[in-house]
Amino acid sequence: MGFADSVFRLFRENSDVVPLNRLKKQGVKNVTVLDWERVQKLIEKAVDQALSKHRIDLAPDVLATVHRDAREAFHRLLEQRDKLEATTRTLEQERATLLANVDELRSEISRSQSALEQERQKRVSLEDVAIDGAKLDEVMRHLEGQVSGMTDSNAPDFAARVAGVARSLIEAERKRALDAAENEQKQKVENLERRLAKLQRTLTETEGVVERLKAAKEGDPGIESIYKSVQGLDPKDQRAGQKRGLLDQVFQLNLELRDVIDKK
Amino acid sequence: MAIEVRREPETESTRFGEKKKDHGVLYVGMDLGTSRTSVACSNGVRETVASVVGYPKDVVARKLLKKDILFGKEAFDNRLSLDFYRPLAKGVIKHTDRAEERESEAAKMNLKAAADLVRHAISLAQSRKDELIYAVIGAPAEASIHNRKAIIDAAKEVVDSVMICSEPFSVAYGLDRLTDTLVIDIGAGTTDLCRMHGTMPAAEDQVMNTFAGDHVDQTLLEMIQKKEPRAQVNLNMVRLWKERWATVRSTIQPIIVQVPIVGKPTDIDITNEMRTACRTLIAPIVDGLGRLIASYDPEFQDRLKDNVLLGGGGSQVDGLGDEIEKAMQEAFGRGTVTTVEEPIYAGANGALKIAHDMPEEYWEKLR
Repeated sequence: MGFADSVFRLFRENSDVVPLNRLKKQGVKNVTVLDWERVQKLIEKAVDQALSKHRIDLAPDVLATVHRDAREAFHRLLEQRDKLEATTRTLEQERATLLANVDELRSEISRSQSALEQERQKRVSLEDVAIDGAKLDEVMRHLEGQVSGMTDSNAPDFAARVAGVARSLIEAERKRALDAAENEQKQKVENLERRLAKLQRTLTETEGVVERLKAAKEGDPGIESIYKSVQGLDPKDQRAGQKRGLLDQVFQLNLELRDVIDKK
Repeated sequence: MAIEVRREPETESTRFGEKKKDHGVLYVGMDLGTSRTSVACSNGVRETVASVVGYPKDVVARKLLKKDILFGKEAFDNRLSLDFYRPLAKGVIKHTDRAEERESEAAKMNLKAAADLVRHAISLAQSRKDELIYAVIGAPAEASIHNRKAIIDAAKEVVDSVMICSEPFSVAYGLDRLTDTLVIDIGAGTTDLCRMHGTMPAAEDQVMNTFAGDHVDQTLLEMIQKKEPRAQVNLNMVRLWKERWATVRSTIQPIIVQVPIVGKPTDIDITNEMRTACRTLIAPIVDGLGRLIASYDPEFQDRLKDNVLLGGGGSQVDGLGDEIEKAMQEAFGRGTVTTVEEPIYAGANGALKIAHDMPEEYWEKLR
């Protein structure tokens, strides 16, 4: 793609399209058009003015080379700006997505934490466990087996012995059920703890990426000033004396303003 | 602006892992205006932003906009989701002028919005972290101590040293028109007239009136509503039309705008209304100029009349300079008005030039 095409593409991409009918309705009769030749002449004029300001007289062929270099530099700068803007946009989008993820993760962690707390608060007791029907049948069969082995069923303590056997069998079953319920709750708590730890790791990692993106953006060196040191009035300025007086007054007014502010 | 560049060798910039500010000096000139805030900087950056600030109304809006504060056009476009502020009015921060209002919530929020706007404007300079930043902020001549304090406090957070100067003075300084010059600065809230006579302008050298951009908008709105009562028009629409077609010329192409009337887009002609509304600026300006001329040394009054500088956003009204010139010739026998080339940046350019010329020890004393 030629230089002119690239420049026109950039202008087109950065322009608003307004239908001619709308312009007509708005009463616009003339439209200013900036053509490529004019842009080229403006660049050359800028170069000529800079050279003339520094009293540099160049041979025509050297001047033509300088003009060409200036045009190319202009092109490169436009392209660099384009690329930089695209990169910045991508980074901004990524950061926005990550920030949304961070928000979601925080909500998820908050939900998991309250679920974990609820689970930890739970105390499983014997009242909470029930023996299912099959287990009860098994206990009864076991009891029948024990009772059938007893020879003297008219013995006075027979009923008490049967009840004792039944109680111990049921107690054993209830204890097994309680242990199972406790194990199940412990398992739930462990799962929730693992999930929470994982979510927190993901959050830390995502926040790290967000911070790195932010730092990358802040690490942008900015645009360098043309001055390396504090300047001040040019003593060769024809009005240096008058300007110095005015600057003194500006400074004095600011000094007085600071005093008033400090006293308030 | 011709500025001599004096470069010094670069030195080591990192100490204890922190950026040391020894890699240069960035000067920032700022024009803090009711309608627009512009910055011009010594790294070539020039930016302007509408002086409006918005804060997301709730969590949903914040999540949608992905920002805590929005400025300029972005704030304006999303104003329905925002607590929206235009913090400056008639040259000062809103609700902060009267002592009894200063503690109100409205005053606090406008002060915060103005401070956020100042910080944002300086961030537009795209400074390097290792450069000293010295800023001059052109503020309205009539800004109160309370207002100036808010501006300085906000700026001090982001620059190394800051000074405030009056807006018309910075325009005159930037254009090297320091003697026998009358500066007209037409902003949104106020029109400031300032007489430059080689020293810092005093109170008697300045005249202010409120016939400015906002007044034109309001007048134009009322005239359109009177012409077509069913037209659904608001101040923002009127402001956009004014920015596009403002004129005081007698002969112009018709200005046709499209407005909804009972929901139907309808073309209406606002040519006369635009011209009449814009012309309301002229008489108060000429009246103010008359007062400044009449109280000047009679020997130099003609010089003053021939040296009138028209700046500020309002100077973009087509033909305004010519009409003021005509009115001056009728009222005072003569008058030459020059419209500044870059009204949006004239104040910021002037502030930048003041910053550049200010001696180092002054910056140091105000750090």
